[in-house]
Amino acid sequence: MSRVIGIDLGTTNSCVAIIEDGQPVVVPNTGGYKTTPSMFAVTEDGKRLVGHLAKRQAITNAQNTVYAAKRLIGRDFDSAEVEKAVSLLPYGLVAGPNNDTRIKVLDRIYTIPEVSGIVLREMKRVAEEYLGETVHEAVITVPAHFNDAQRQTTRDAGRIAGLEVLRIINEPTAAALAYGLNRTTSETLAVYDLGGGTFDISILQIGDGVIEVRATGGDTNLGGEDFDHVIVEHLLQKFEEQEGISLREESMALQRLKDAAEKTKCDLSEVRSSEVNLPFIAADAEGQALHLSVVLERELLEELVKPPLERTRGLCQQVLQDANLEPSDVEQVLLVGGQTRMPLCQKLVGEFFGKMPHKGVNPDEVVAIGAALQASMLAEDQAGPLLVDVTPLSLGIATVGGHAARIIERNTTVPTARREIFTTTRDNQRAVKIRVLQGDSDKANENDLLGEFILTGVRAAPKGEPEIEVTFDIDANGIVSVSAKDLATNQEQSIQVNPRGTLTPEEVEKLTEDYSGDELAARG
Amino acid sequence: MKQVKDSEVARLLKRGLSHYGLGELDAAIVCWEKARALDPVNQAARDYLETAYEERAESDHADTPVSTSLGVLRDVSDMDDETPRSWDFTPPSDIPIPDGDSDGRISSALAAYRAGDLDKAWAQLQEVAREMPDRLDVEGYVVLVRTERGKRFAKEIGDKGRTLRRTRSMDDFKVLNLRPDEGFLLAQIDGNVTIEEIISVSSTDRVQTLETLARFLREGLVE
Repeated sequence: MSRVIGIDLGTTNSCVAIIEDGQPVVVPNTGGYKTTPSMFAVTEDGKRLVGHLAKRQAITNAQNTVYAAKRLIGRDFDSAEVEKAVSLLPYGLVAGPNNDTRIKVLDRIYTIPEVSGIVLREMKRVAEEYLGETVHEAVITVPAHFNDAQRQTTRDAGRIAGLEVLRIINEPTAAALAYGLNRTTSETLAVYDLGGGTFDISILQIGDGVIEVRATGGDTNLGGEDFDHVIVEHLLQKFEEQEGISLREESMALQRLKDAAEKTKCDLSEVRSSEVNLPFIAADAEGQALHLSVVLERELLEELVKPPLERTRGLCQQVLQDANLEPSDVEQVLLVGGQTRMPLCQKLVGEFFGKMPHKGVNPDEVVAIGAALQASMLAEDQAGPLLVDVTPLSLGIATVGGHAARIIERNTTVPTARREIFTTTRDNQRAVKIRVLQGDSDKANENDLLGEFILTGVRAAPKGEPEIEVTFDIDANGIVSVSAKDLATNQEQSIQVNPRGTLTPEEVEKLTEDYSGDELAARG
Repeated sequence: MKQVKDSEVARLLKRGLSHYGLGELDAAIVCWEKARALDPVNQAARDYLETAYEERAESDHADTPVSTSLGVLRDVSDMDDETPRSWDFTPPSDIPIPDGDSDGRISSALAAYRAGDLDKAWAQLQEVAREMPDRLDVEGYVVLVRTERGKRFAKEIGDKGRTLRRTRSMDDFKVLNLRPDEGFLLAQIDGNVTIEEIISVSSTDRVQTLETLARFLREGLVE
């Protein structure tokens, strides 16, 4: 029987785990690293790189190196998120035929699931190399706030990578599984996930074999990269003060500074002081080599990263409000993501929740381990805990005046069903158009349109008199059904909103074929 | 009409040189053959094709692959070239040489090239190329010499699938006066990545990277 692997497809790094002899094993890549940068690059001579190799040239070949593609999953090209990404990312973004977002690298356009598929294929390859056998199936994790389209796009990415995705599970849920917390009787826990590029905070309710995400929130543009950035900025200033030379336009110097900043940040979680030593970083007007040598203290680092770190406090507060909880109601706090190794981060979390966070599982690996545990349960047909999701965004319909009427609020546990009564706006109106929306804005056009249908045969009556009952039903697989019924005539129309990715099934099929048997230059 | 044809021939010759520089011999031949079809008496096209066919015959004989399954063509500098190529490549006669000084320097560079002094030929040709960027014949010679230098450094480096490590700490190298690009390359050498991978992540020209790595090995900075 072929193994089912668990993959944490991260914004910045990805990780793959398996269960071997009943124990979770995080699979190291060829370079010996247990996480692989979620990066993909094409060199000037057309060679494709993925993982650590892509990262090593990410600044010197910035326009052709794709990173943080996860932020773009399931996003329309004209969305606010993509607009922000265009201003931040060095690589090119273009609109796809369905207004989806695509990435331009050299002279080729890549779809987002294709890029994620390249990273997933690499994780598959890492696992296969370790196991010595072909892997066909996987459980992949996604942020709890991912909507249906984003989850479907992740499935498509898995398929492009040659994987059948048996289940998509939420990252905080995976973390809880890895800590074995599904075995506890009843508990409320917070999962504080500060990764390389994103911050997620989720409140989970665990009890009687059920793991329920009660509320989730975060910031898709807050993470360790911000910390690296402030360190690089500090080093640039120091060098400028010492040598009177700016390195801001020197891509090779910036690449070395970024690598050094990341390493120093990690070192300072263990020691109180670390030296950044970069010989030959530049040359003076006479061609004499210049070196950068700066000692960084933990206190200074903490001062530098305090502003971005403090932003997580407000987001924790927000999500607790959504869950109608006080910090003291949270019984356990789990840390996920490499940035949570930072003592200042642990202190902040401890202060906020009034208790020290749970330790014991490597925060870089915990999500992949949880995915592997879920994968193992599925492979062996074991009854695992019931993973209960919530709707990450509100659902509703468009009403007169361009407003959005919310029928199911975000963070509502699924499966669920809700109904509300609406009426007509004109005398003798015989038909109403139902536009199904997903999002939290009060304005209809600021939400995602999931589908639309027309209810005909409405009783002829003065405006405001007919009663039209609109029912939303979300089943356990996240499939949304919407129906509208004239209570006087019992005339009814309905629509099923299937989770749809950004690609058609034919496109996914073609990309799967295109990439099958493909080998990328990747070592770690 | 003739002007249009001439510019198309020039474009094809130039494109062929680009392919040739990347080791894409077949693609280069296609371009040059098209150029010759348009202008059968074009001496440059004939000379380039003669050299290219000669080289392809050598490659076929050596059974050297020029492409991978991915379709990524290798740099000619990857090709093991045990037998020296004949250096009878003559300047294309149909391109006027406008000034005597550059003519002299080109002749001198070609003499150095034939004598195997590639560094001297390289330095002289680059100088002329900088002064006269539109000279197609000079560009052709630059590509040829660049390719030969790449082959020489690749041969000196040997197996590019092996990993390299620094013989001393980065700090200890401070006594040397390395350029920033050399410092960048040295920083990439950590005992984990192969030479081929270092070349992939290097932001400098491939031949320059090979040259630097060959020098690092020669001078014992890495092993």
